[in-house]
Amino acid sequence: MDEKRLFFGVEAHAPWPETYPKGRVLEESHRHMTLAFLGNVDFTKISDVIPELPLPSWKIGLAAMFDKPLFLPKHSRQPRVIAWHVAWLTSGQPLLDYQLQMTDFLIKQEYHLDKRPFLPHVTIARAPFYVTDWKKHFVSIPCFFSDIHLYESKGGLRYEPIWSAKVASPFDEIEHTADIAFIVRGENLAQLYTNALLALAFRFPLLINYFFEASNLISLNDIVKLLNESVLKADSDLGCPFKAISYHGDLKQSPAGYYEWEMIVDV
Amino acid sequence: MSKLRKIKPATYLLPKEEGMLVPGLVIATDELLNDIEIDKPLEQVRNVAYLQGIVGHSIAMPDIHWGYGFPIGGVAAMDAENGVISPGGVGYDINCGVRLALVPKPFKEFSETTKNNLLAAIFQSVPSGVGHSHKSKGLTDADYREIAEKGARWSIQQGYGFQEDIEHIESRGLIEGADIGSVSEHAKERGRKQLGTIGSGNHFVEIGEIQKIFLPEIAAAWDVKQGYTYILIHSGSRGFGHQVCQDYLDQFIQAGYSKGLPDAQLVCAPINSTLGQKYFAAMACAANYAFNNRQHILHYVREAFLKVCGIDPRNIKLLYDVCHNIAKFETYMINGQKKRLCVHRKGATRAFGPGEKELSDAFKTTGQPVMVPGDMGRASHLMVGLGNEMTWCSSCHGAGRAKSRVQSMKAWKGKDVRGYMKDQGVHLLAASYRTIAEEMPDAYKDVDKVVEAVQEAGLANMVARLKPHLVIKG
Repeated sequence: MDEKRLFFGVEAHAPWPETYPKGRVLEESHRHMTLAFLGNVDFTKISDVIPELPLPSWKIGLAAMFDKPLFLPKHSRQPRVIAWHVAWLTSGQPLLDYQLQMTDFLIKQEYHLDKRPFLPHVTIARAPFYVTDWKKHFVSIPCFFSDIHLYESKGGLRYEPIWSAKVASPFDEIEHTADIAFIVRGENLAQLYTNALLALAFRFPLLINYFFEASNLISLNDIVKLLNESVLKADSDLGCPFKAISYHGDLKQSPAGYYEWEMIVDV
Repeated sequence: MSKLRKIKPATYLLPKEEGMLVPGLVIATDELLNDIEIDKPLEQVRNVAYLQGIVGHSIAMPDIHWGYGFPIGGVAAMDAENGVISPGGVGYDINCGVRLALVPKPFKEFSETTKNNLLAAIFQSVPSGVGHSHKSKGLTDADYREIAEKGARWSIQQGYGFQEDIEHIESRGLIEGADIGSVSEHAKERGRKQLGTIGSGNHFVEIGEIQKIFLPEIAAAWDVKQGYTYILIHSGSRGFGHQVCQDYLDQFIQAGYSKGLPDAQLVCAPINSTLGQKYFAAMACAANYAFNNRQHILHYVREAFLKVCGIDPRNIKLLYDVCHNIAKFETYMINGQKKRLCVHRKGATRAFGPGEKELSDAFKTTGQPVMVPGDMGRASHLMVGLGNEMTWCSSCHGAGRAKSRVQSMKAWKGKDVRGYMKDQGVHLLAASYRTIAEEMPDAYKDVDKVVEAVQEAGLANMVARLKPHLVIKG
């Protein structure tokens, strides 16, 4: 039997801090949100199961923010794990539904899974650490979750994807002779706004606190206006590296069926 | 690029195509054209030529690069009677500009310790970077009213500078027609504590050495001496101007003025419309704010020279202050008739030649100083305007970016940027590592080539080359 320690998870992206308090910190590229922990299982069997695995309903990575640190297990006097809790910018329901769907599917395939309520979080470090230091160090930052992977736990806090279901990134920073520019993706105008703000917040994390509920968006101009309101508020309160988002570009339909917009930002 | 036709030295014509009201004109040498990504900016030159009332050409300077609606490094003059005014033709940072002051001491006479102390003193007294402002209570509404009415004179009355400075500022530091009633509360709020701050991005304070003189007579007339020390300040109207631009872009679009334009950011209103006039009045407020901003910054730099080097602030002479993001009313002879035009210069500098009435006595016989900041490592240039009406007496405003910020950041990521700059003879202080990496010299075109193109085209002549040594970046 080709046994491996495996789990399904979603790849996590964030403008990670450059420094951390003491602890065994996971490398950025290994950070993820666990959806279903399989444990030590036969790789051949899971390989047979994977083609039947339900795929996520979303086409674009889901936007969120880390809003608080968690010390796990909860209520333990000696927690072993530092994780950051995930708060969705828009509904995280698709991911929660998918997690349930995946769990049900895997249970039907006779895998023994943890049935505790799902806690959306990303593990950042493991013991030894000082809780107070990590509490003091924590600042809310934006994040998003893209590809679904079957990870193999290689030991030493290393997790390597051995199977993946690709999901488009909510944005990509692109090279442009203008100040800064992004391709922003969204399945509708509200998601386009969320992902545009997310893109900006990856450059200036404090901007995530200026996320407004998007309602009544009927055109790209409405998105630009709303983003500029966030920039205005952030600039007035704390100074913001962005000065304005340009009324530039058109909505384009991608072959994958979502909108793409080239967002140009004046700095 | 293939459509460009060379008509004069360093001057190319972009022929009129369907929809264009005038042809385009590109100032560049063959070498520059080969080096830059010209297609996107040329599309913008073309788009500007669609605008109602445009006269002459839609013009691009050799430092042209992609902007919002208008290219950066673009000039467009609109008939003041039936033309339009465009916030995107001025830019977000209204009256972003440059001022050059001269220090009566050769640069090499400053010891290393003095240079370091000077840099630290300026860094401390002139806030730079994101979120950095003065701790003062900020501007009151009454202050804003006075700034709008008096321009840079307001700062001088408050003790920031000297009376004679006024004669050394474009338009004597005042764009007439400002009305603070046209400015939103949001804009005032953003600018309240930002007077005397550099901001972020490509803004800076630079101290260096006048390295080479090209025109000794002009240099002598301006007291520009080889080996002596200069101060170069690049900043604009900060959050105040950005908000003014944003507010009017929103209003213009809401009023439906973007309909039928190839790019919403080109949105413009008839100059004589209520909204057009309100924008001009608000833009003039932001322009006057920017003159005051640079006046304050120079004051703090003068104070630093007094504190660290014992140089009397009065002996640090302001040579000139130019705007390079502005719309101004100017009169030109067109087909034998005087015509009032609204000249949009976005990333372009006015370059009046000798004899121009508006110039102060100090520049009437020489022509106007034109400052062209390059990059923080190689050089900046001081030029003299020739008053070439082909470009509505305009010249370039800088080197122009050669690499995007992403490219530059990638190229320098993890490298010792400060160490590299030190090896180039430049001591550098900046609010963030990222700013330095994004602003490294190789992110910009070679400014020497840009000013050569301007000279070849007959827009301005090179007076002196300036070598930066102490740099504060936003």
